[in-house]
This record gives sequence, C-alpha cells and structure tokens, in this order.
Amino acid sequence: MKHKIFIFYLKCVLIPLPFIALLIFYIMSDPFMVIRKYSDYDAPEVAQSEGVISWNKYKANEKSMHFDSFLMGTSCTKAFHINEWSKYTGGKGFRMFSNNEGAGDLLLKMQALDSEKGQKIKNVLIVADKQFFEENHPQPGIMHSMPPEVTGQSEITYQMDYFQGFCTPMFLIPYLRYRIFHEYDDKTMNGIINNDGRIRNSITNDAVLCQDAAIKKSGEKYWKNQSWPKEHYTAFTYAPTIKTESISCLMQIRSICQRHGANVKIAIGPTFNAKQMNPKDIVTLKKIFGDKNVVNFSDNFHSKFRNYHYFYDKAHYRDVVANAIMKELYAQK
Amino acid sequence: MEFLSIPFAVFILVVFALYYARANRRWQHFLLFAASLVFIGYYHIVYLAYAIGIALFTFEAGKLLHKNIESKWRAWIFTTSIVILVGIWLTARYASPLFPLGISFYTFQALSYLIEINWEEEPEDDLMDFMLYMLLFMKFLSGPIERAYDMLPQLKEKHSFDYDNVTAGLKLVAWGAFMKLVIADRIAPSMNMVLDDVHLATSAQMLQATLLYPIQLYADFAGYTNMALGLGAMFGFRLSPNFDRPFISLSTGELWRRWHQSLSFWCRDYIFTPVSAEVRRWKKWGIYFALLVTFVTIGVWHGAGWTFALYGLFQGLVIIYETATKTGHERFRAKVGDRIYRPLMMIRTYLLFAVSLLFFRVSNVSDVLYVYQHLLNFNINDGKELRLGLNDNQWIAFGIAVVVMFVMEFINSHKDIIKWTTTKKAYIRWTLYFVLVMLIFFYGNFGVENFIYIQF
Repeated sequence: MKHKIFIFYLKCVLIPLPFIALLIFYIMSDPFMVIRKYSDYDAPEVAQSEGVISWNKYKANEKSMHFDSFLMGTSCTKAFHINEWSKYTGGKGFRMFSNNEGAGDLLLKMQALDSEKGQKIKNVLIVADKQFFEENHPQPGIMHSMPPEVTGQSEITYQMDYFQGFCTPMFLIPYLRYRIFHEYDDKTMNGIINNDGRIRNSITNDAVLCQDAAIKKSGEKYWKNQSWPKEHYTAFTYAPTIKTESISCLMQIRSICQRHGANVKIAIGPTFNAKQMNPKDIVTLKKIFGDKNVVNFSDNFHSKFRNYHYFYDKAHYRDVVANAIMKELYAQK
Repeated sequence: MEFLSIPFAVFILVVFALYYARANRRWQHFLLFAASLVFIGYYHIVYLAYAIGIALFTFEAGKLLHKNIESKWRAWIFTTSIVILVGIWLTARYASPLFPLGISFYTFQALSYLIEINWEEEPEDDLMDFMLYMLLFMKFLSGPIERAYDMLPQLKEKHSFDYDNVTAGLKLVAWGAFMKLVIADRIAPSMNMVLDDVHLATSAQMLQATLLYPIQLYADFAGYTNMALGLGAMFGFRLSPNFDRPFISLSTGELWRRWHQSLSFWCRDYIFTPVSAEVRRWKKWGIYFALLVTFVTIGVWHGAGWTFALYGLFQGLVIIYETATKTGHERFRAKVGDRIYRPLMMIRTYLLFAVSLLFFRVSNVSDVLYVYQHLLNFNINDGKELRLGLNDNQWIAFGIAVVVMFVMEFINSHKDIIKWTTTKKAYIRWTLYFVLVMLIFFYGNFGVENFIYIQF
C-alpha cells in the first residue's frame, strides 16, 4: 500500500510540473507589470492593460502632483496633450484611460477616484465614441482590467486572469519567440510586443506620439503604406446607441462629478469612414451633461476632419483634431 | 472554505495524507470529524454550533424514539422531534440574521434519519459515526442529502488506500472543477448582468439569459456534486449521485427524477408517498394534491421568498398537467414517432424548466412577470447586446465546453469513462489529464466566488 501511495503522490507532483514551470517563468518575467511595482512603466516589453498602468502611475504620483483633472476614455485620448488641456482648465491633469474603454469601465474608475481620500475632481474630459456607450459594464479580459483596489476582486483572481492571458498561445508564442530571438516581426507580434520604445510621459501619462515623427519623415507615404485610407466614404448614421442601461451608467458618472463640482466635458471624435453617432444620442448626452458640455466631431458639420490626413491610423485621430475639439468644447460657456 | 480555493487545497492535502498514514478506523473517523469541524467552523463558529446542536439533538431523539417505539409516547416523541428540527430550520431561514450554511441539507438528513427510525429502522449507537454522517465535510455545504442506511454502513468499514478509487475520485474532482470554472463561472457574470436587474436589460438579453441560466445552474451544481463525490471516493466513501443527464428528459416529471436526485427522491419517499397514501381515497385528485404539496415543499426548501414557493408550484402544476394528459401524450408519440417526439419533448421540457427557473433566480415576482412580458418582445439592433460582457473567444470557449460536457455525459451513460481511462496506455491517459488541467487553467473563470447551492 505504501508503494501505491508513493506512486500516487509522485504523479500528483508530475502532472502540474509544466504549469508550475510556466508559472515561475511568468512571475520572473512579469511582462504585464502587474505582479511587482515599478518606477518606470512607460517602455514596456509588451502591450499592457492601460487602465492598470494609468491607475498605478496615478497612485505613485498623486501625493507629489495633486492631480485634480482627469482625461479619461478611449485610446483616442492619446491625441490630447495634458499641457494643452490645462490651458483651458487651469488644473493638474492626468491621462487616466483604458484600451477600448467603455462607459462601464469609466464609471468603475470614477467610483475609485471618488473613494480616494482627499481626491478632488475639478475637471473631467471624456473622450468617447459609439462603442464607448455600448459597454455599460466593466469589460472582461486583462486588457480592460483594473487593480483589485478598484474592482474589489481578490488579488489571486486578478493575478490568475493575467497568468491565463500570459498562457494563451496568441500571446505566449510570440512572446517566447521575442524573448529568445530578440527580433520583432510585425506580422505576428503587432499588438502584443511593444516595438515603439517609450510610449508615455512618466508623470501625466501623456502619449508619446512617435507617429508624428513618422509622418514628418515619410509624408504622404505614411498613409499610402496603410490599407485603410480612401478618398471618399459615404456618410452613415448609426442607430441610437444610448438606451436605458447606458443612461443609468452615465447618470452615475454625472452624479460623482456633481458631488465634486467637476466640470465635465464629452468629446466624440471624428471617424475616418464617415460613420457618425445618431443625433438622438447627442441629444441624450446633452440632457445628461449639459448643452455646452458635449461636442460631436463625427457629424457632418465637422466633415472636414474625416480626411485621412487627420488620422494616425483608422482608430486614432491626430493631435490637431484633439486641439480643435478642445477649442470648441471650452469655447462654449 | 470553498472547494476551489487555496486554503481548501492545503486542507485536503493535509487531511488526505494523515488519513492514509494509518489505516485504522478510529483514527480515520477522528481525523474526518476534526477536519469537518475545522471546515464548518472556518466559515463561522455559529454555523458549527448549529450543525453540532442539530446532530446531537437528532442522535438523542433517535435513541429515545427507538426506545419508545412500542410505547404510547412514540407519536409524541416523533412529532415533537420533527417539529423542533423543522422549526429550527424555518427560524434560521426566516428569522435569523445569519443563515447557517448547509442547514437545509443536514436538516433533511436528520429528518430522514428520524422518519426511518419511526418506520422501525435501528438507530445508530456510535456517536462519532453519527456525527460524521451528519457533518462530513465533503457533502456538508450542498449535499448530496445522504440516507442513513446508505452512509452509516460505510462508516463501519476501515478504508485502506485504494489506488483505483483515489485516482477515480481525483478525476471526478477535476471534471467537476471543469464544469464549475469553465462553464458555470464563465457565464455567471453575464447572467448576473441581466438577471440581477432585469429592468436594465433588453428583451433579447432577457431571452438569452433565460435560455442559458439552466446550463449555468446545472454546471455549477453538478460540478459541485462531482467534486463532492470525487472527494468522497478519495476517502473511500460512495456518496449518492445527484444528477443523471436531466436535459434529456421528455417531461418535467422525468426531469425531477434526474435533477437534484437526493432532494427529489427524499421528497418522494418522505412527503409524496406518505401524503398520497393518506389521501388515496381521493383517487387521482389525491395524487395531484400530493404532487402539489411535494413540489411546493421543494420550492420552499430552496428559499424564503414567494418566488421559491411559486417555483415549486410551477413544477407541480406542470407535472399534474403531464399526469392528467399522459394518454394524449402517448397517442401523440405513437402518431409522430420517436424521431420527432423525443427532441420536441426535450426542447419543451427544457424551455418550461428555463422559464420556471426565473422564479428561482430573479429577486421578486413582479420582476419575473416583467421578464415574461418582455421575453418575446424584441428586435436585435446589432447583436452586440447579446455579448453580455463576453468577447467572441469566450463565447466560443463556453460553447465548446458545453458541448464537451454533454458529449462526455452521453458517453458516460454507455460506458464508465473514468474506468475506461484506466484501460488506456499511459501516454493517452496523461494526455487527457494534461488537456483537462490545461482547459481549466486557460479557460476557467477564477473570479466567481461561490457555488450557487451554497445559499441553501
């Protein structure tokens, strides 16, 4: 019997061995930078969960910087410079955004900021698009996750999510290839490995826009080398997106801002393919946040910004567009 | 201490190692008893107090009842004991701020023990064995509801290390973890999103949640049961199965012979049979009455609100209808043939169960009626509302896992899969083990904390 028990225990150790080895490698490499705290998050190896990184940087710098103005929303926030925004607000700005952020994700962050002892919220600029208003609950997956102190989930669950993300073949294979051969291959590693070096400002979390340098260098070729730009798109209006669930979420965001006396602005950016938000949604947003606090650059009035020269890629407009948005938003008094 | 938690993993390792360190019955029972006390007390000391109190009361009441089985006091002792147990249970459910975990399960065990003694079975003499029957940690939280005559004889045996039993148990635990983590917990946040506040959901979302909730519930509860049975097997115990492929049922009556079997068979034996015997002169109306009483009891067993009573009533009414129209169904079956009849009835039974489960899941009756009103009143805008917080990969993984679960159950109904793996070559077995563990690791949702039936 003792021999059989020994064999059983041995097998119980052998079966998880490969997973344990993978776990040790993951803990040592910490590619997503979520296991340990770092002094510099901004030149990462891999594409990170921007929500987590934003929050960690905010926490690291809040005592020294006393942030009171928050640039939130989708990755289109990259076009907005904190210094430029501060000219309108006079506040201490910080870019707190997420990958493909939705209203539900933003509400979670607002609730976390609201819970922070002594945290003032004087200005909020929400950079949104149609998809933003479709997501009224915190989105699943590590690219949308937030730290346990924000979500209330356990640390083990949080880390387990990242370990699972690490183990998916879609991530693990390119990552291992990159770690072994130290060569970047755009076809298989784009969106997984960071090949742009430093991508954010260490204090304000502003984006480092390496695309501007590429445009300056390549000129028109910058867009000709991409498949998406076309000279003309037929304008298309989406069906209304903002319904009961969205309204509930937005009202909660508004409620937090009102409690802080915050100046809230909503910026809907242009789209390269002339798809625009439904006017009913804009009316709803203005009812919730105020007539003068919402601008919609996806509409026909701002059609000049549909030109592909105003875009870095099909998902992100350039900083000149952001500057125009801010000028119009803050001109409305 | 949840089954799927690090404290429990450490706990079970220690208990397992000590259990087989000495193949001595007294030592093993003492260890299991101590482990059960730690397991129950880990949640709250009050839960432990309740459990020990009820167990001790039942033990003494059983002895007293047996001693007076021929006397005039028999009925009084029996009735008083039952009333006290039911009273404690109802008080805990309706009036206590702290609802002791597992109380519904071990109270019904206690009731069945006393009823059997009243039916002139022998009581248990050994207090330790009886306490283990009542409190054994593997089945404490959510059953199965064990019968004394099934479990007590097993406690009389010494349990030596049996490699085949232990490994079979471990495989069952892993399979239960797969069902819980990859299926039930993957879909749980989506179900919560809709069913926690139905007024914020669209009709399409309500319909989707209604159709998927039975799968979540099944994977959660059957997953737990598999883990409990697997753990039992690892320690040499044969616990009662709770499910037998309920979704192949051709009627609601059949579904309840396949779903939560330990509860439904308990209610059949201790409520339906005695009640129908008492009212047999009412003929078919007596049967209907007994069915209503049985299923309302099943509903109320689950929870304190009207929704649970209505859940039970729904089941009872459907089964009464099926009983009353049995001849018509048989004629229809003969007319259309099994090829049409069987899938049609399976879908019908599933749909009826799904809409009845809204009473089980949604917080109040008016919200259930709201869902009923809006269930078929939808148009889908762009399909994104149907994602319910999951991305495409997660839906695909969930879908495949559900198919795998049903296919495995189908195969297992014809051949014991666990036994089958032992006949295969080592490299096949180990590949299967690795694949299962990998699927749990990579696709399991570790974020959902509790099993659903822990609340009962």
